[in-house]
Amino acid sequence: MQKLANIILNLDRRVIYLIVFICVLVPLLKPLELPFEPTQEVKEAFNDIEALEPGSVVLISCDFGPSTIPENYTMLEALLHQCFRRHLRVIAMTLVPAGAALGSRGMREAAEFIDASGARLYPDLEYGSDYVYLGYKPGSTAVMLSIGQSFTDAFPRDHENRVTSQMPIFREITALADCKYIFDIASVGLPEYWVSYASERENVPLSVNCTAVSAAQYYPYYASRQFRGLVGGMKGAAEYEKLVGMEAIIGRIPDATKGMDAQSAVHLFIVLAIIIANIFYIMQGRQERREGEVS
Amino acid sequence: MSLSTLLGIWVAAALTFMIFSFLYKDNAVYKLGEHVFLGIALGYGWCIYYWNDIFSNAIAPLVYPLEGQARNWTLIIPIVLGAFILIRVVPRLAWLSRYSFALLIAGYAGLAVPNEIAGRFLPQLVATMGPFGPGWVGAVTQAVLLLGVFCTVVFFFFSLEHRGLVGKIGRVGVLYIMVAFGAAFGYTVMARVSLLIGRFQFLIYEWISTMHGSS
Amino acid sequence: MEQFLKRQLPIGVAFVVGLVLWAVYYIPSGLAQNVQQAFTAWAIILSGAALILGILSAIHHHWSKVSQQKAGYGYSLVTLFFFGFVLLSGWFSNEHFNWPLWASIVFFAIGAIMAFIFLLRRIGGAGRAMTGNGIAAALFLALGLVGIFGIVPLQATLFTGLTIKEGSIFDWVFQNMFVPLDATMFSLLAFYIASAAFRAFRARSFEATALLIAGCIVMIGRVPLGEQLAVTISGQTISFASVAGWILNNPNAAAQRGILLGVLLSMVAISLRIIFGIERTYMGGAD
Repeated sequence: MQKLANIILNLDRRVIYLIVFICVLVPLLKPLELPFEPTQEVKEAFNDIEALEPGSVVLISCDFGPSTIPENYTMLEALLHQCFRRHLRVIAMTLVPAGAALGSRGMREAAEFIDASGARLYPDLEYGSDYVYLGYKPGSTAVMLSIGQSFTDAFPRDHENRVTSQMPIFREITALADCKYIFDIASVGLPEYWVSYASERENVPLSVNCTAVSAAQYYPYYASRQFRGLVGGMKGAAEYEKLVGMEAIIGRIPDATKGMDAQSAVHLFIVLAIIIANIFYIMQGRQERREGEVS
Repeated sequence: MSLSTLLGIWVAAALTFMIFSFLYKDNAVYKLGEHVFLGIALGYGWCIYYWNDIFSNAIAPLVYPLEGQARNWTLIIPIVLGAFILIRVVPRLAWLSRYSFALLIAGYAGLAVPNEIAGRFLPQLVATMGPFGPGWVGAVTQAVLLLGVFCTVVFFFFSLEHRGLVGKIGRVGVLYIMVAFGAAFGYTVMARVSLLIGRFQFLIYEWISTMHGSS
Repeated sequence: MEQFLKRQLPIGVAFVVGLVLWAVYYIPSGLAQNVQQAFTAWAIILSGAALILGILSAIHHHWSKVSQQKAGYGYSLVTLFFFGFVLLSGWFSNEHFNWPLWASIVFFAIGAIMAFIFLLRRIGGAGRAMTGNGIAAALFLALGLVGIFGIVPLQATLFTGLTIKEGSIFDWVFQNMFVPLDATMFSLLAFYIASAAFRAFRARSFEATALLIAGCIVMIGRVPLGEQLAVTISGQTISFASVAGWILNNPNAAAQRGILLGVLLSMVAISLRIIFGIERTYMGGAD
C-alpha cells in the first residue's frame, strides 16, 4: 500500500495530461448527450430579452478575446439569434481590442445566416437600421460614460469606418438611456464597471455572460439584482443555447452544448483524482505518525 | 471550401500543435509559435488602436470633417497630450507625459469616487440589509447572507486584534471565504477545461474534416 | 521653474481635474455634462496613445535584442517580421491609393541602403558589432519583398482588399493565426490545473477541507453530470447541481460581497490619494 501511495502521489504530470486528453477526446467523438436544465440565473437573462418589445434596442458589449471563444462567442451567437428572431435591434461594441474582429465576425455570421433551404434566415435585417457594430474604443469607463451622453460622439465611425451619425438607427437612439437592455459578454472584469458607470446611472437593466473564472465573484451583483441574469461559463452558454433553441436554428448541436459531455468527464476525473490523492495522503500521514510512535 | 479558408485551417492547426508541444517540454517550436503570436498581437493592436480610435476619434473629425460639419479644433489638445505620451520614448522629454497621465489618472479617480459609491457600494449595502423573507426559506437565506458579509468584513478588519469574540467572528468569516474560494476554484477548473474543449472541437470538427473532404 | 513644471504643476493639474470630475457627478447643468463629455472624449484618445506607447516599448525591446544580437535574437526577428507584416496588411490600407505597394517599396529601399552601408563597413574592417545592422537590413529587405511579391498580389486574388474588414489579409491573419495561438496558449491551463489539483490540493486543515469540499461540489454540480447524481429525501430531490447552486447563491455571494465592499472602499481611498497628490507613482521618473 505504501508503494502504491508513493506511485500515486508522485505520478508524472504527463500521465495526468494524457488522461485529461482522453477525457476530452472520447466524449467529443462519442457524445453521451447528458441532459441538463437551465439554471435560474440564465433563465432570468433569457426571459428579460424575450419580454422586450419588437423594435427595442439591445446594447451588446463583446468584451472578450479569442482565448474565451468557447464560453463567450457561443453565447454571442445564441443571443444575436434570439434578438434577431424577436425583431430586436442590436448595437454591438467592444472595450477589448481582441474583441473587435470577433464581435464583427459574430454579428456578420448571425445577421447573414443561411438556413438549410439556402435562404437568409433574417432577410429583412439591414445594417445601420437593425443592427450595427461599432467596433473598439479604449478607455473602458470613459467609453461607458461617453455613450451615456451620445453614441455618435463616442463612436463617430463604426468598425469598418462608416460614419455613424448617418445611420438611421442613431437618428432615433442617441444615448444609452434610449436602449432597453445592456448585455455584457465579458472575459475581463468589465461587468462591474457596466453596473456603476452605465446600468445604475442610466437606469438600463443589465445581464452578463462571463467566463467561469469570474462567475463566482459576480453572485453578489446577481443577489442584489444589479445583474438581472448571470450566464457563467460554457455551461451557462449551453443553457442559453438550449433556451434559444439553437439546435433547431443552425441544424446541428451548438458548440457549447457539444462540449458539455467532455466537461463532465474531465470534472469527474479531477474530483476523483483529488479524492484519491487525499486518501493516499491521509493514509501516508497516518503511517508516518505510526512509524514515528514506534521509533 | 475556398483556398484561403483551407489554408487558414491548416495553418491554424499547425500553430495549435506548435503550442501544444510545450506540454512535453519547452522547445524551439513552441518559442517560435510564441513569438509569432507576439508579433501578430502587436501588429493587430496597432492597427485596431489606429483605425478604431486615433483615426476615428482624433484625425477624422479634424482632417476629414463630414459635409456640413465644422472641424473640431478642440481635438488639438488631446492630440498634443497624446503626442506627449508617445514622447516618453525620448528620456529627456519624458516629463511632458506627466501632464497627460495626470489628466487621465486623476480624471478617472475623480469619476470613480461618486460612481463607485453610488453605483456599487451603497446598492450592495442595501441588498445586505434586505428584509428577512418571504417565508422561512427567504429568512434563512438572508440570515446566511448577512452573517457571511458581516463575518467576512470583520475578518478583513485588521485595526482590531483578532482575539476573543472578534477572533471567533473572524474564524466564521474564514469559513465563508474558504467556501467562496472553493466555489471559485471549481468554476476556474470549468473555465480552463472549456478552453481546451474549444481547441479540440476545432481540431476534430474543422481540421480533420478537411482531410475527409467535408467542409 | 524647471522643478515646478516637472513636478508641482502636474500634481496641481491632477488635483483640479480630479475635483472637477468628482463635482460634475452632483451638478446636472449642461456645462458640467459638457466638461465630462470633453474629458471622456479626450480620455478615449489618450488611452489609445498610451496603448500605442506600450507597443512601441515592446518593439524597441525586440529591436535592441536583434541589433545587439542578444541570446534568442532570432525569435525577436520573427516577432518584428510578423509585426511589420500585419502593419503592411492592416495599417497601410486605403481604398484609393496602393499604400501597401509604396510602403513595401520604401521598406525594400531602406533595407537596400542599410545593406549597402553594412557591406561597405564590413569591407572597411568593422567587426561583429555591425552584424546587428546587417540583420536589421535583412528584415527590411524581407518585409519589402514579401509586400511587393506576396501581400500586394495576394490581396487582389485571394482576399477582398487591404483593410481590417472581413475577407482581408489582416482578417485572415487574425482568424487563422492570432485566434488559434491565443486560444491554444490558454487551453494549456486545463492540463496544468488538473495536474496542480492532483499534486497539490490537500486537506491539510479544516479550512482547506472546506475549500476542497466546496470546490468538488461546484465542479460536479455545474456540469450535466451533477444533475444526474441526485437523491430524493421526503419528496425533495437534492442533486449536486442544487447544492452547488445554493453554495454559489448564499455563502459564496456573502463572502464575495464582503470582499467587494472592502475593495470598493480601497478604490475610493486610492482615488482620493491620487487626487490629493499623495499617490504619484503614475508620474514615473526621478526628476
